[in-house]
Amino acid sequence: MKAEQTYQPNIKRVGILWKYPEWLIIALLLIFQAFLVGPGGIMCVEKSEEGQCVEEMTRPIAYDPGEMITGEKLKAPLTEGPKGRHWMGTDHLGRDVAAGWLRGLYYSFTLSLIAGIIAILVGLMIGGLAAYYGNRFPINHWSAECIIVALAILISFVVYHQLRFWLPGLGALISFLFFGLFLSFILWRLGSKALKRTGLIAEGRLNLDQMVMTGVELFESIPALLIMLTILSMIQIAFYWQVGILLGIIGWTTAARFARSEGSKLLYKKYIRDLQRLGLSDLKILWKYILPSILPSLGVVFSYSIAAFILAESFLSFLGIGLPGEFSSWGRMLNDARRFPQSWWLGLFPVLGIFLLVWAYHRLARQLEKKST
Amino acid sequence: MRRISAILFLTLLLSLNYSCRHSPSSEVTQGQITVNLKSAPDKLNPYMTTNAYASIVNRLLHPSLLEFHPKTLELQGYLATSLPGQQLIDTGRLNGNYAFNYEIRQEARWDDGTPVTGKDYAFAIKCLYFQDIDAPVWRSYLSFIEQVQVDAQNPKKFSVLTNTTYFKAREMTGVYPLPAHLYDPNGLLDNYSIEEIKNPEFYAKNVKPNNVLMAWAEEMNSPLRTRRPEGLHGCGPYRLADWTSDGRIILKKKDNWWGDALYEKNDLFAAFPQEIVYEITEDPNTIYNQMSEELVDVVSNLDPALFDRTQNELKDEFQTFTPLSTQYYYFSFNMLKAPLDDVRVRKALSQLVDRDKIIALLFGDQAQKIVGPILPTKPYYNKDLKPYAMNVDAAISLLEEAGWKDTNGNGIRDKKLYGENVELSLDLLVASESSVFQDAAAIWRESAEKAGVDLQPVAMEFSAMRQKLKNRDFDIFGLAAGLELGLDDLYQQWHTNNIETGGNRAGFGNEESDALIEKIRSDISQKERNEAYLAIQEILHKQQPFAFLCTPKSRIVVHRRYGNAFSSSKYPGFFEHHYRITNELN
Amino acid sequence: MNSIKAGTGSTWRLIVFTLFKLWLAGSICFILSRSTPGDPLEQYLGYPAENRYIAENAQWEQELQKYRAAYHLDRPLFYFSIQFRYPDFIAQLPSDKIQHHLRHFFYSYRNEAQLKAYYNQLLQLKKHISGLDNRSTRNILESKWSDILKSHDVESSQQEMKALIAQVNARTEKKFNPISWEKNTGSAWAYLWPQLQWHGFNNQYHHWMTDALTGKWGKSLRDGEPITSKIFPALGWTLSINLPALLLALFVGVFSGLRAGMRPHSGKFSRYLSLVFFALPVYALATLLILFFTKSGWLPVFSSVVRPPSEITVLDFWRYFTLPVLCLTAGVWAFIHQQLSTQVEKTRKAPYVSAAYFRGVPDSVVKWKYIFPNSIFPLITSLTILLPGLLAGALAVEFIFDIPGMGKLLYDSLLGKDWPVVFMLIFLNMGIIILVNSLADLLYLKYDPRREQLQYKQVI
Repeated sequence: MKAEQTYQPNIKRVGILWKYPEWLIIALLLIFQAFLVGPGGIMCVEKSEEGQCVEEMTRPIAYDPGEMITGEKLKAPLTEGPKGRHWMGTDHLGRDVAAGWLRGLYYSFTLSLIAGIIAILVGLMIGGLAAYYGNRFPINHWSAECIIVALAILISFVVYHQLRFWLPGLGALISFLFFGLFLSFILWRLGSKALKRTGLIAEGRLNLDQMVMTGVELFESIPALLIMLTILSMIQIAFYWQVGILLGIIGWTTAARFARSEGSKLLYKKYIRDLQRLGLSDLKILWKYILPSILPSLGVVFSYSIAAFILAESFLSFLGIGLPGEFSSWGRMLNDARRFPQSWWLGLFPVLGIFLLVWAYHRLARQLEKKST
Repeated sequence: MRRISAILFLTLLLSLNYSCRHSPSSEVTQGQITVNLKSAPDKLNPYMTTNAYASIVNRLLHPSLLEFHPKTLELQGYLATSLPGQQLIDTGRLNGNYAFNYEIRQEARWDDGTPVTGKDYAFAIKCLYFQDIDAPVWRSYLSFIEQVQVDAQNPKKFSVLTNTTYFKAREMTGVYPLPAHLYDPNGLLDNYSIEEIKNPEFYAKNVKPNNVLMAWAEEMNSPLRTRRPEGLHGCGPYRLADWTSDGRIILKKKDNWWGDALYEKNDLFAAFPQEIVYEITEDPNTIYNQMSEELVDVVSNLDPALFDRTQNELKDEFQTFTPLSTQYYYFSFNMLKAPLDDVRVRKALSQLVDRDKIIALLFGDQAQKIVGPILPTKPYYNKDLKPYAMNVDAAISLLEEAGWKDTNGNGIRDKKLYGENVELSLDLLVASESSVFQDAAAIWRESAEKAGVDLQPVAMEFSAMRQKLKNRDFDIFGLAAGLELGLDDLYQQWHTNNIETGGNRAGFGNEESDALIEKIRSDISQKERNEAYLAIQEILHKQQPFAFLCTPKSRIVVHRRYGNAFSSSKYPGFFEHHYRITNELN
Repeated sequence: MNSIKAGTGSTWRLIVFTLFKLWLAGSICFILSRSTPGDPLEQYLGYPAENRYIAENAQWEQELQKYRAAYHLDRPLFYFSIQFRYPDFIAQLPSDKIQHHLRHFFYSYRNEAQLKAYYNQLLQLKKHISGLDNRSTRNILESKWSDILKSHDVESSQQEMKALIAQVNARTEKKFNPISWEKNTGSAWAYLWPQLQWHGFNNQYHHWMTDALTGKWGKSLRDGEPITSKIFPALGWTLSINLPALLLALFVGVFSGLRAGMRPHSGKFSRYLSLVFFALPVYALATLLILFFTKSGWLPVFSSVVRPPSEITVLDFWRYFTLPVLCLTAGVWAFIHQQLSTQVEKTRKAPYVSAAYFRGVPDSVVKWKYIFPNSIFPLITSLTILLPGLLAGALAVEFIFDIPGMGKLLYDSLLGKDWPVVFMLIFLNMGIIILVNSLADLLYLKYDPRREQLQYKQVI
């Protein structure tokens, strides 16, 4: 009886994998990519106790992603190369497409996951704040004003103090921040009546909701390309995941919009208001009641935004400004492929890769959507 | 019903596509030639631009006094009757310096038929020194010109007085006259001499406060004088007929152009096409598509892969040329900094560059290896020197000799420097705009790894990279530089005077090389100069401040209907005004 | 959607709010533009070629400085800057590099007397080294000297200094002694308090703001053309690709979406197609299509021939625009199809639709009079979301087909640091977004009666 009970869910789990064949493929490829591609195309099967390799074996994909071989330009898929078979052919610089493709999958997958997590965290925080505190954040008391201003000055001072040597350009940014702060403080004191009319401040309350939405709108109206190019020109990309972090920082607005709209819908549900009247703390309400109820739809947004980040990364690399040249990227491969229409494999495999990943995330999102409604 | 309408719609779409596949040759009118430019020119005033694409158009609008003949590569008079006489000034302030006596051809005329005179040359030099005209780069180039004296009897004769005995001054004074009567109809500049305008104090006191002059300068800078057909005048064979924004530039041949009469004697004055259209397309694939539809006749620097394809697939329509271009690619070492201050390390690294692989993969085999900063077709190019070949063993032994050994077993060589263990790990700056350099860096890195050298390619925007080079804040960088058709002046890039701030970023130089460079710049016979050139190339080869890579060949494609098409090393490599339709294919 | 609410005074508020947002966005872009390294002026005036003769190196720098002054680039960035207090003599030093270097020492030890001694020693060393006879040793030592200044780390630069002094001492008679630093523990926090420096109105931000407010939008840095003469042709190109794509997608999408929503089982093909297009980005699709058509060679539709849009004939349009337009259409169609079909499916199950069927209202009437109008509202909002994106540039399509539209203009200007053009494009983009958002609100208010109920009052 007990055995049956534990056995039952296992079938379900395996079944889930069969229901999502694209995820099965991705998972297998990711798991085995360390085995398939590696330095020198050779893998150690057995090691002696001193760490010396006793038995070596040629990997299925016997080439490094960046390895250029002079005589192996534009070979069709499945042709034999000097070290092993080119499963997906080679490109115009004699690089093995399969090795680059697999590495591209790895970069694309991890990078978009990082970007997605960052975006959802930032977005959830900002959007959630906007929804929950909406326009009920009282700053009509003088002490609140002072605390806000002092905190802001302290934070920007500390940040500036830490960064002033490494990023001199940031000094300007900080002084701008100061300026904005002082300006808004003076405006607040002098013209709160006028401000009330703009909707930023309602009846002695700071309209956080309005402010956040203005910020979101502003952020969306500045071309992401500008932000990306500016940041990329200030820092050097040494690791692929740095691009993921950048994408996440740029792409948080969708999640914030979602969190705000979903959150404010929830807040007008009667039970939440009842809970508030009962005197539960805000944190407890957020954690125990609100978060679980938006989790499924959060998953939907998460999957969709990861798919969007995959597309964004490959498009930026397509334009030549995303991942630096030493990292294999589907977008870059696709851009190179445009010059070689005779070599169909150069274009087809990256497109298939992008399609596979994006399709997988979209399907996941759709399934979650069905479940949540 | 809906399905039918959808089908109808689709068939309509397809049929329209088929019906409009008109024959390509119908678009080519007799006497029109279409040339591809990769990027739009910025300004069509020869002094106000350093843009390579603007100079292609400018050479047909604003010819200069002296030109290199595209076939013989010999310096000849174009607007001038011949090369100028050179004489030493023996009186006055400029005593001991050169003066050059020019005579402009009797036939030479502007758009409106007025003859080109010495006054126009003087006007051009005045414009150049006029501080509020945007010509800073040319102003620094020609800062040695002090006076222009026009002959009172013959306005076509004039002499250019300089403050230098610089060996290239003659070649450099042969620049472009501008139409004084059209660009300055009120004679505003007639009241001032070149010396006065050049004098900063006089300029600040008398010129700058003059609003009329400032308005005139503003007009000279404006698109009217640099980009609009109605305001642009020259004495070349063509005039600007139309310029659509980021679209196409159309030049039309002038009726009764004065050079037609001279063509019999000298084919420098060839101008066959009645109309030249510059099509601005950047994307190599689009260019190739345009070629296969025969919408473009001349393309230069075609993508190596597409050049190969042209030779295979479009060989019936297009002829291809591969003249050496006037530029070379190099990786520069920072000689001022350890560990690259050691010549053995530089030589070892240079031997780790697989030049053959780079040429084969990145240039489609269309490049030539070089040993120094001199065009390989020059008589004084040092043919005895052999470019460093890829040799990992030799590199390893050089590194060992220099004391670089892998003591900690991490695969990277190290050495004790200033009492500390330093790994042989170097940053390699390349411009993120250049895929060639990024790929070349990857190839280098791969082979350096075999010798235990850790090269880290760092791709950054060119302007940011330039800033770093300016501060000498680099280990190695990769760039392309220009080569000269005339005599080479190595001062700017190789003299020790320019290590601190100038163009000598590698920090190369010793007494011997400085003496040689100064000797080349002085007034000596060509034979002696050639010997000095050979000697300095040898020093450069031994010292390896640069890992010289190669001079690429310009990959030029011209339609077969232009039977007399040719190409040469002179920039841009193609000469569309010389091309004539000799055999109609279609 | 929050920017306006129906009611009195909303126009006034909209204007104030829009201006406020424009100011903020502009200022952010200004800061971003000034934070990027590299000097656009230098780039556009042209670099002097390395192998050409220039009489004096300094002359080019002077020229550049003049132009920087003309564009106010030599001014401080903002009305004020915040500096950290440090000994006066550091501030008066000519070189930023030395200032920077000494500041590090100052923050570590805060010992002004020793700092002065250290600075003097640096100067003496430099003077001594440049007096050396042997050129190569001189070069090496000089570079080591300047390496010390580059270091941000106090410890390591002390080490380097020691090494340098040892080398200098070994070669010459004059002997130097490295300074042994002592920490001054007295006034630790007084020095850390920042100092506000007022720069007055003659600063970059002020000039930029006044120029923007007085309508001096400037010229393109690249070629001196007024900005409008760059933007209008580009806008023409973008519209001539995007409008047909949008109309086509709407036309096909409405029919296919309705059909799929009405009969979910027979609409499987279009559903999957839309999902495929959803997952296939425009640039991938375009690249695949180009590869396919180039290879097969039977549709010469993809090479763009650049002519002003006004000169394009209908034939030209079909010939060159079919592929870009189709590529754009695919994505938009997939979006419209999905939105509409799910909405129709929902509306179809609504009681009033069933009631209509039972009453015997003809199928086509139910479909067009009952279901369609009630399913179109989400589409209206989503279209208004799509519109600015479409206008600001189908960058991918413009990039691949080499069409000089708005997206390409923005991309090229961004890469080329042609800031006046970039600012104008951003403001245009913002304007369109704001306009379209308010349009969406108005449409929603006007056509969807349900919005009244959705609109919640400030309850909490």
